[in-house]
Amino acid sequence: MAPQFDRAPRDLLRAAGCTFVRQGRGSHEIWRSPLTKRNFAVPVGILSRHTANAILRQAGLPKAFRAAAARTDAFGTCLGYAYVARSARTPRAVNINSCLPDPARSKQIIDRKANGLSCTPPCISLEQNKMCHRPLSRLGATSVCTSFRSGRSFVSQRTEVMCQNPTFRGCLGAQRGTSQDPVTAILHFGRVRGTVFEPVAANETA
Amino acid sequence: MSKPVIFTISAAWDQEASVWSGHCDDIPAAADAPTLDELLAKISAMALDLLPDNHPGVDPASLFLQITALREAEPAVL
Repeated sequence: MAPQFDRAPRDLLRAAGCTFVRQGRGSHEIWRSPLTKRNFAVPVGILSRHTANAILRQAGLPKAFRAAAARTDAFGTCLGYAYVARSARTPRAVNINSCLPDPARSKQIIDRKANGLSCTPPCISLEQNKMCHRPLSRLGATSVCTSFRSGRSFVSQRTEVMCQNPTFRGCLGAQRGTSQDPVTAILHFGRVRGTVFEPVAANETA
Repeated sequence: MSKPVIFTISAAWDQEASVWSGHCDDIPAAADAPTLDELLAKISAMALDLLPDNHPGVDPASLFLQITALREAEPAVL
């Protein structure tokens, strides 16, 4: 395994004013920290983030390297709530038409659609259209769809791409607000995290 | 021989990197290695290098290192 943490800890040490003192008798270097006013060892070929963090701590610096999963926080946070619906034109098709930061607001739209008050997915008004797509558009995504092949929902980066992809044919709303298909059934209600759609129980959004 | 000085290295298995990661803040030194023996060898070399800098009164002959290792594992199903 190639060393993963050789350069970054040294850059952080230099930025904090630590200085290289001498080459050690072995595969390590001796550095000096102005914060602790002590010399400390920095190995060559650091493989573990725990080792890198320990070196920073010994130099008087805070932890800087976290688990790989933590680095994807931007995709791990909930972008909003959305639903998968079935339309009259494409009964097998499922599509998520809106994504709101507030599950209650999203549910209002779902209820209106389900009651036939709205037949223009993804949103029922220009204002809501802007609101619906704000969370997804931050990441360049415009819609959410379910793959017929895998049965799993996902967030599309671009609606057009999604519609041109034969794997995902049959989705509604190639462009926002252009579909006139009434929603006939709400199949799933869920939470959007980056490119992942997680169905949630109805009582969770109550 | 002067009074023994014992430094304790704390080591833990890093599952992500598949190495033992160990550190001793008294020296201070940190390193990682595939085996505990290699880790001990690396930190021993660091300790001997840093002893004159951070512990000038300690005789290298009286220095002892002890290692405590932690590795979490699920029990194997027989």
